[in-house]
Amino acid sequence: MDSQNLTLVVDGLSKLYWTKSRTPGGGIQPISFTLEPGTFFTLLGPSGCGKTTTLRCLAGLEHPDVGRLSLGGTTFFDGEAGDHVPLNKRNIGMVFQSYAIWPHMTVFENVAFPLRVRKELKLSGEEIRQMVTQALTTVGLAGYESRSATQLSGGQQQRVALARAIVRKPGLLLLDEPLSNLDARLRDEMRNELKRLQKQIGITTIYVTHDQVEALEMSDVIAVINAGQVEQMGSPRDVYDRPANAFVANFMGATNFLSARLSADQPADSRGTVALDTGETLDVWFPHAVRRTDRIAVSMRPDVIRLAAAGSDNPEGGNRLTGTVVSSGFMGNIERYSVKVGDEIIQVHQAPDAHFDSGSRVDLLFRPERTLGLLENRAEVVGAAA
Amino acid sequence: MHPPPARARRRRPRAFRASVPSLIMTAILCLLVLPPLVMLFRTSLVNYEDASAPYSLINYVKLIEDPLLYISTFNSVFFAAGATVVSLLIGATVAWIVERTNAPFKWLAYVTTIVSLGTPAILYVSAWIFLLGRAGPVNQLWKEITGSFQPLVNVYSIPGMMLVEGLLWVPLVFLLCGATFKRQNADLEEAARMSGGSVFDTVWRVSLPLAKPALYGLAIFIFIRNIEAFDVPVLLGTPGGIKLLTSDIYLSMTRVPPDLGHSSAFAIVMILFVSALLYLYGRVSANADRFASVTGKGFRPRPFDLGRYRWIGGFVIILNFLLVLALPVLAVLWNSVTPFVRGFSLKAFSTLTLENYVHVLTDSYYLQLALNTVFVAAISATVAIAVTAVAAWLSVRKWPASGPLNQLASLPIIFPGIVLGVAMIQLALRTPFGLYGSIWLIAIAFIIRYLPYGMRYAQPAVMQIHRELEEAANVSGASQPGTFRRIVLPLTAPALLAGWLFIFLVAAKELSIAVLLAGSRSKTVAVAMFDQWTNGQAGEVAALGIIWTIAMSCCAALMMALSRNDMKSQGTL
Repeated sequence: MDSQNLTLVVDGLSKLYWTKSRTPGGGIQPISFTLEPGTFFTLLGPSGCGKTTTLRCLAGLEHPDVGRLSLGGTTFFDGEAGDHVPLNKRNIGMVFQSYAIWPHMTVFENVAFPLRVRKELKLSGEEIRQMVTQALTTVGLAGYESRSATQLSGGQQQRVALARAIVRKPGLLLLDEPLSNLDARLRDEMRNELKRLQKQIGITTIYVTHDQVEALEMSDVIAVINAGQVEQMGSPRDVYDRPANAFVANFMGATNFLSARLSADQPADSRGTVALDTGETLDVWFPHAVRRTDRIAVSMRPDVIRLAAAGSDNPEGGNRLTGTVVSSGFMGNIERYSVKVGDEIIQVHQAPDAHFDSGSRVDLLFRPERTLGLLENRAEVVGAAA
Repeated sequence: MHPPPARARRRRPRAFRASVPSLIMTAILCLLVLPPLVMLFRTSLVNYEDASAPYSLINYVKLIEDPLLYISTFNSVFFAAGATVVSLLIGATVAWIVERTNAPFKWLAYVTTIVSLGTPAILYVSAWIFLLGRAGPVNQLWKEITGSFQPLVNVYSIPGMMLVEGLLWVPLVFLLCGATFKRQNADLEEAARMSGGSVFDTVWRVSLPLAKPALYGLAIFIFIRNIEAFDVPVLLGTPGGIKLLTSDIYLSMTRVPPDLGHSSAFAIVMILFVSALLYLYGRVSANADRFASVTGKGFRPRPFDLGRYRWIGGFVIILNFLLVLALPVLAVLWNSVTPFVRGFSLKAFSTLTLENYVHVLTDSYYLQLALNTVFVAAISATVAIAVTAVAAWLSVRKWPASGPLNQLASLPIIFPGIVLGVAMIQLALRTPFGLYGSIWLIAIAFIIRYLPYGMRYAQPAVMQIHRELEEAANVSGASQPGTFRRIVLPLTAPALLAGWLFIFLVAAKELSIAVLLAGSRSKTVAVAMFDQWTNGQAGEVAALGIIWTIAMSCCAALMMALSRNDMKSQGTL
């Protein structure tokens, strides 16, 4: 049975936990998305934001409060109709954060387990052997069949967990922070490997992580989640270049914020002028519509700012702020400066060819299209994407 | 956001279905645990003297008015406290030397413990009665050296009872203390040494205070066991005219006709007393957790270097070996090869004989005893472990309605053995199908008695399984029973097997329940030893004891090996 090429529909799914004092204690507010077959979808957010709850609801490990969940034509969960397919009947593959490799079984038996417990498939021993071998070959562990699972390194255990998740060709693959227990070098390696495998198998994958670099590199679609709410859903470029608000911009990588005010409403994808709280005005790009009354956070990433000696020419035009270098640190490929502008400290990353001493006056030059005017708080409307 | 009530109603069937396993387990446990308690309480209220007023508090009134209750209570508490001090002093010292220093002969301490775990208490007690008795080697030697006609020690006294009972519990104290000392973080001690403290300073100011809550908890636990003790009070106290709570209950049950009302009221009083102590124990051991100094993985306690004093440590270990194992076993061995009980003398060597062994090994009566004992012990260990393994899994994984499982399975801990025996006799008398005097009655009593032990092994074993190991099986398509069978059982198997062996061992030597319940054809080895000892057939008891001890020591060795492996594997999983 080939259960791949199925569309996943999540509609208004929600699961909230309540503390003893009847206040919300985590979980996920209603979330909706539709994933075309083969999509690599990432739930990204800080710990405790509800991303793992969402994943566990999809797997069937948690029982959602409300919503609908279906894969292809099969409805897994429908809060209205009271349908609930037990997790062991869903045919979903999952890789756990701890890998959950059973220590009392060999590598072969670990991977064969999902085939053995599905009696209705009526697989012969030979078929099981072939499917396990194929899965282990896919993850690059052919020849490890008879190893005891506890003799494996972290990276190998990870691969066994992956082989076990894909061995019965599930309709959906769930990955719960699978790289967080690996050391940095191995993590980089496995990131590429996972992405390559996912494209090769073509399986719809949902990936949970708190690491924005992983999310950006691997995903087709990212959902940024904060405190149980989806802040933004979109492609990696979309989320990075056109963050919905200050939280998303901050979570997707280091950035500087300056508080500002508007004099008029701004439509989406427009350029306009804002007045900083310190009095200066900046030319700013608005990726999303904002109203005159909204509090604005102007976001400039440290690498879009160019430093120059104070008062030097600015042939390209654009924004200019003046400040004093507080400290600098040489980091090899870049030099990192902290520059005091008014009462704010602004981080700047520069190529290390020119050097500015602490205490020197500098101009900070940056282009308006790289200067983003964002909502300081969460947007009222959350867009559904993909 | 808030689910409307209509949907909550529709979901109820699902929630109910999920709570079925827990409800079944609750029913099984209730059926096992509650009848003895209800029966005791009911009988204690029956007025046997006045048929017109069937229920009254007369038994309690008589009990409270009888000065004997206060004498027995005082004696029991005094005896239990003294015995606790003896076993803690010896057991804890040896445990510390073995676990935390580089003293020689450590293996000897383990051998002592293993063999002692497999030996019926009755055998030890009889050995000490021989050793310290009026005509025993100790008093004989004293008389010959001093020319005195008065014996040095009188074993039929409270101090004598304290000593014998204390030595009985040394192996268990050694094991439990050893576990505590093993978990102590050597960093804390090394910090004290680096700050300039001597070994003594470090032990006195750092190690001991750290272990204190655990030691207090252990002391209360051993005290409870000593209050419940049966063998020593009956074998040493009764001949010496010293009455204790357990021997009082036993005597009022074996009187003709048995005084059921009195013994039941007595039993209820004892249950209340033990419950109060257990509550105290719970409070103390909850505190002990806050002192646990284990931090994270990869931690290994480093032993103290005793330097020139290593030999003192070795000497203590040898002394422990002599007192707890060698002397009693030699005494039993001596009794087993002498045709009649006689003091130790060179003259007696000419009369040594293996006749007792021949008799024990050929008489079908003894074979029947051994079969009975193995059967009862195996059945009770199997059922207790099976029930508690499922109950522990349901309760650790917080299945719906699993709340009362842990409490129910732990409830029998409030029954002293003799009390459970009294309750089971009354239950058996009211069941129609010939339970009274049958071996099944003993098996059921043992199952009830050892449920808490099973829980103590099963619960931590399940807790150690990472939740995701089970979730991975569910996601892979395994049903809940399938997950239990394929994942939970194999992973807890070493701990469950160790628990099985432990229950098997204690059940095989349990006397206080079996002595009341055994009929003429359902005697266990411990009961037979008790009967024969009180009838003066010491030789055969000794021969039987030696053979039995060898067999049980093998089981004990297996159990220790399994527990050790289990501890090792915890590090890697």
